[in-house]
Amino acid sequence: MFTNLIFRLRSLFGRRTAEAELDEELAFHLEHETAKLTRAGASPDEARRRARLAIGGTSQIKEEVRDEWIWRWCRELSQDIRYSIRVLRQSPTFTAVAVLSLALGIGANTSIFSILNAVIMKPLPVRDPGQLAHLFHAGDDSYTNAIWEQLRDHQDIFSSALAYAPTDFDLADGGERRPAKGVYASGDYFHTLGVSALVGRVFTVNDDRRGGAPVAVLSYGFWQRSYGGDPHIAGRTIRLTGHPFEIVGVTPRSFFGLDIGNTFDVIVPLANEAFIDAERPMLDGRSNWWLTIIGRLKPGLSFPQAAARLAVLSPAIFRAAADTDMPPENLGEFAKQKIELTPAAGMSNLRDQFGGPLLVLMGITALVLLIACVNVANLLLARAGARQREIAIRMAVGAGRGRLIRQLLTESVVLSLAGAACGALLAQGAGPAIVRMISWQGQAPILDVSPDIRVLGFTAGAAMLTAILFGLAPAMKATRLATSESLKQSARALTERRGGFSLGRVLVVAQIALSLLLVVAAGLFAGTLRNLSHQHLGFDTEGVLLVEPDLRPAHYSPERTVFASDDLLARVRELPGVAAAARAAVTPMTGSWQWDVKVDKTDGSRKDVHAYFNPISPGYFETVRTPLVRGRDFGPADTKTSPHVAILNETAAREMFPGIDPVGKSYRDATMDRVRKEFTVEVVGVAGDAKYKSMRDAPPPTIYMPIPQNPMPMPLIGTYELRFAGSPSAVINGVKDVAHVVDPRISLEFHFLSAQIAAALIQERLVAMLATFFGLLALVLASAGLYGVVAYSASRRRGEMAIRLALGSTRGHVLQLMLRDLAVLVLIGLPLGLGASLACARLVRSMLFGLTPGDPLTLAGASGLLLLVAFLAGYLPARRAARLDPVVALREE
Amino acid sequence: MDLPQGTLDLLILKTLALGPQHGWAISERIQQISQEALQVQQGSLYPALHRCERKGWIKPKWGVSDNNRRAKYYELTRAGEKQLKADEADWRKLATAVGMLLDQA
Repeated sequence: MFTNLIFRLRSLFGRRTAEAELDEELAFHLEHETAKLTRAGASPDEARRRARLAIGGTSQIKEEVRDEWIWRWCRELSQDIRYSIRVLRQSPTFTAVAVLSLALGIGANTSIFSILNAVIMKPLPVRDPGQLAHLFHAGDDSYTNAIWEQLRDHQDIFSSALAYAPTDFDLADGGERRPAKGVYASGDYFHTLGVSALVGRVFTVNDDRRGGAPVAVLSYGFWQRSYGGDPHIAGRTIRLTGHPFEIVGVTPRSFFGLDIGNTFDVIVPLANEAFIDAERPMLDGRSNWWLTIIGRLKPGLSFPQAAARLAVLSPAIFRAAADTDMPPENLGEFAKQKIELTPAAGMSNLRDQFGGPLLVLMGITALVLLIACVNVANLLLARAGARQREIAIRMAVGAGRGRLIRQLLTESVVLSLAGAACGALLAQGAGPAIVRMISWQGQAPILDVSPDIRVLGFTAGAAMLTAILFGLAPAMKATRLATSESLKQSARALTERRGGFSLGRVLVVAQIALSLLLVVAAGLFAGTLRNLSHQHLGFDTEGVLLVEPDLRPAHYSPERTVFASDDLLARVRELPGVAAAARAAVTPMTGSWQWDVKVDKTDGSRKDVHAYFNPISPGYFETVRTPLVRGRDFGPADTKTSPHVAILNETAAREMFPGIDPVGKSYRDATMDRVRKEFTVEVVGVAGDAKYKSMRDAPPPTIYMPIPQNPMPMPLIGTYELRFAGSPSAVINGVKDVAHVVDPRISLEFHFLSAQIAAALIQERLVAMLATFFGLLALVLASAGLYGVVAYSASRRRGEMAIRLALGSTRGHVLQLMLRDLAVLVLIGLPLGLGASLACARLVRSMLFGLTPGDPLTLAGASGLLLLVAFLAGYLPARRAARLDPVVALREE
Repeated sequence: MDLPQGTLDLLILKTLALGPQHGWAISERIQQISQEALQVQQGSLYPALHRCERKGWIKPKWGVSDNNRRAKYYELTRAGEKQLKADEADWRKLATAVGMLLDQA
């Protein structure tokens, strides 16, 4: 893009002079013609008129002349291109190395850019996405159904609005769950987005009524996968979590919903939530914050105008939607919240998680491309030396320097376009492969990384920019030498200059510094991943199976639910191969329960401690192997009605009861539901610290409570943890069998704790792997470059070395001489690279774990590796130079 | 008399064979020498000049005219000389052939 601009500016500039000259030429003509006519006796006015008549319309003349110019430009361009291709074909090795370097560099950039494009830049697949607004309040974008209904009925800024929430449906009736990605969406969902059905119809507000006939709309992918694209799908029935829904239509292929990197299988009207979660619908829960709201701005309304109006509307909406038992003193604060809006660019965890890392990777690949450029520039420079005669001859027969530079640049552009074409092919395969690397539970994000106009533009822009970067300096240099001088001399004048400052040496230094930077980056990210995965988690991840049963299809009473889940746990514990089993509300890295508790201090005052909670069954610590350091585990005697008890982790113990043994002490907690009522909790034990929801954060203060004493009004089933030995599939089948015995309607989902932990590090793993790969690529490119430079200099200095050898120098001395030159460059490049690394690593400080941006071990390791590679790259060609036979070499001279 | 297609380039080259000239002088010279028999459309002269330049037959350079004004002069290149010779020969052959045909038929 930038190069394009320069080209255009230049041609524009050149064109303007040419236009001015043409005007001048025509004016000159008119003047002379008028003078002639005046001399012949015409009056000045008459003469001017006749002169103008004689020449005809000047604008038409100019137009014809301009046509000639364009012709000329095209002809020269096609000449240049043909000539370039001929020249490049004459040196296939050079061309292959240059194109390969550029293909790797441009391919790496295009791959990362196509993902960045899909994650961050592509607009939502809906009509006029620029008019869609995403609603926030205090940085959060979830709302209760009551707020949504208030907003929907009282707003006057959106032509229509929608609310939606992702959910999981179960396609199986009991047994192992067959999950389907579901969406609850308000009736105006499709209307607001402007998405119409591919087959059948989409649902409307008329379908979104409580007690109405349940309908479902399928995604294109689900329709293809599960129904083979049946054209008569409308009217068929699908069972979702045990309830029949009539399928009314299928959405177009391009529509993946509103979550970037995700897709859906089935969308049903929001009202259906009321009977799927019949026991406790979130629709009615005024403290269930679960809906995302999107609105389409009325035509002509700007975002600031809409925001101002929303701020006015907000208090009334919040007040009307507040929980009925909210204490009056809280209501004022609650109603003070303001709803804000931002352009809806697609909701995406993927973007939050990978946006930053992708930008860092983009920077890394840009550096790889820069190294490739330096490589090609070095090659071109060496070639320019060899082509000195050709260039001198062309200048001697009258080619202008500008014209020659243009010719040489055309060669660069042809090279870089060839590289870009190969690079784009590489990216075609690499882009999707990288996306597969960020899959979770075997499911890759649904990302459309196919090249669009932005990707093509990016690749073309990268190609042009690189062509200028690597081509311009060598072209300027090649055409600078006086023609007669270089015709006389042999070709070696150009690069023979040793010591001091020369372009070639600067390039080598740059290459060393850049590759060191990339090796350091790889080291830091790999070190981060290593530190994260080898840290002490506080539990043992291996050999733990996680089972999530869903009892909803059984439609149990609360008492029956409690009984069934305890029954299932007891039966699971009896399974062969199961060493221990327990239930817990929260498994590591999946979510959090957190609120404040109050501790009475010895001085009589109280302090609030923010704690993380986990309701667990007896045996949890034994199952996940978190040590119970003091006190007792929960037991069957800890029930809903028995006194409240808790086990603290060490951090919570330290924060709540500094300096004393917490066992036997108590703190105050409050129920969350209905009336806020305080109660006392007695600490009965202390467990070791364990990571809770983040692999990076230190274990937070954590309070474990017996499952029956958790504050939720409905029975909590939680996730079952099974420590097993032997075959996992045997255990899974065993669990399926006992669940079937308890109730065949129970559906089950299985995960492994180790996989869940590994999934928490996807982002770090991706960055570490790609950074390492690009670091290696940089080393390969740089060593090829160094090899080339030393080999070239060796061939240039053949005569000198031969004389030295003939005069009695040892081969070791010649070798040393050859390497000394390289060593100087490496010793300049290394500190530059270290400085750059320190500066750049600071930018990614937040992505690192367990090491500082200036980690001495990483810096030393990277420097060592680079020294080794540089030495090897220089040693091989230097040794060959030292082995030459002086007699043969001197005879050639 | 109007010029047959493609002859203007030849006339320009022939005129410039006598020495570098600017546009107006070229058109004057063509008319004088042909004793006003050939009317060069002044408007078509300039595109033709730029066409000859593109083909590399003539080369522009800025000079000073008789009345001390900056003017764009054109001069014949080596390629232009060659082209002139070839075109001249072609024209003569053609003219002779057509003349013979008209005489004898």
